[in-house]
Amino acid sequence: MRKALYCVFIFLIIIICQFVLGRYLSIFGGFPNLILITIVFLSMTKGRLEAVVAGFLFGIIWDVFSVDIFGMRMLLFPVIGYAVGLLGRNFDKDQLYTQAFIIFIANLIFLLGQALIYSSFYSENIHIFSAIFNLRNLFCLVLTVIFAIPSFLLLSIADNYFSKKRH
Amino acid sequence: MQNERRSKYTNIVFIIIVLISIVVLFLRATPYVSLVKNFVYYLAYPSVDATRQILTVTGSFADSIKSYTALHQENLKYRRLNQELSDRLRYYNAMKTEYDNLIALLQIPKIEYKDTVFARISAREPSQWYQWFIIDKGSAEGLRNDLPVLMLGKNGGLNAVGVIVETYQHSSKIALITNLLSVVPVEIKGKNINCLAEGTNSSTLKITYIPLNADIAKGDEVVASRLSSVFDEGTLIGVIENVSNKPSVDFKDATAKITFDSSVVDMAIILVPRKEAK
Repeated sequence: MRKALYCVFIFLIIIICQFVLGRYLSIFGGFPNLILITIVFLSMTKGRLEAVVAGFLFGIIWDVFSVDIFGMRMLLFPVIGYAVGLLGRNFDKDQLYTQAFIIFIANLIFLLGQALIYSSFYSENIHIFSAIFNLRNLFCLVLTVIFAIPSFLLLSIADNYFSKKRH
Repeated sequence: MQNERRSKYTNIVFIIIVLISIVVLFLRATPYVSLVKNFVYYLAYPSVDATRQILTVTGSFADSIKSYTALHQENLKYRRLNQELSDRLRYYNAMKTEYDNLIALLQIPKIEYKDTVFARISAREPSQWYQWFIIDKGSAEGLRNDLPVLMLGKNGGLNAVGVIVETYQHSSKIALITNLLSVVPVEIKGKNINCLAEGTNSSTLKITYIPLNADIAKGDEVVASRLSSVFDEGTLIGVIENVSNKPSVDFKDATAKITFDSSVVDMAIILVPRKEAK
């Protein structure tokens, strides 16, 4: 019951922060990808299964809220969760620079995947590299990496709080 | 052992999720999802903007629905029209059957059903202006020799112009009634006077074999008589212009002005009897 409550709480908080605060508190037109941070966090701390399921649910929500290709994030987030779960075994997860690096790699995978899906579905006039490495996306990537460290901290606190209550 | 089982379970869940996502991606369900989303917005907060979004943002899906609705309306309209025309056809067939029965009972001549072929004059020599011309329709369009060639007159009726004398696949040669070789059995309209209209290679016809005591005056209409094998009875040929006063034994002559405008003739009408009328 506590675990379910924790999941719902985290899910709602992240959704509200990403879609409500992101609209009003954007930083120079950009906003960190909190959903990606959460998936990476879940993958590193809870396991691949939780990350894949959470990625799928977050992906559905984001795809519904966005106006582009439905199913794109539904595919990318579970893949990132799974990939980070596999890669994360070889890294020291508690180190800040490791977390930042993994977030950076995950974000690159996300952008690359988006570009590939875009180029597959809208073949006309889509240049993959310009779609990935535009200024806005790079700025969001930097923001995500910067925000990853405090976000990890907050998520860890919440996780510990609910874990303690359970015992 | 437990970790291995969990890992296997994770892999299965991951594969299922990826497959679902790929299927959703290839279904290209974005317009449908947008429609549902906008509809939910509309239910939560029914505003003009939400309505506009339902109708416009959904893009091709909404267009498809609109075009489907328009097509359905058009289909209904044509169905009604089709029903109306079918009723008329049934009515026409009933009338035709009744007409045929009456014709058989009363033993009166049956009206011939004819098709109308419109032809353009493709060649006409100035030196033989009142003798021949060529039209751009031929046997491929159902024309054959000895069919009458007519044109619309100033009175709105059909006036005799000539007869087809040579037929090719896509052209025909027409001998005009003004041709010197042309002779048409005619009668003076309303006076039951039978005579002949002979061509003179000019815009006038020579009306011959008029009985001496016949009451003919300038302005009388000359129409094809029932003896004509080419033109229908009553087809306008010309108008009496002058009656000859030359002494003759039995008959007198007259001249008649042709009723079709020879200078502007460019479209000919050919009446082709339908096969069922034969």
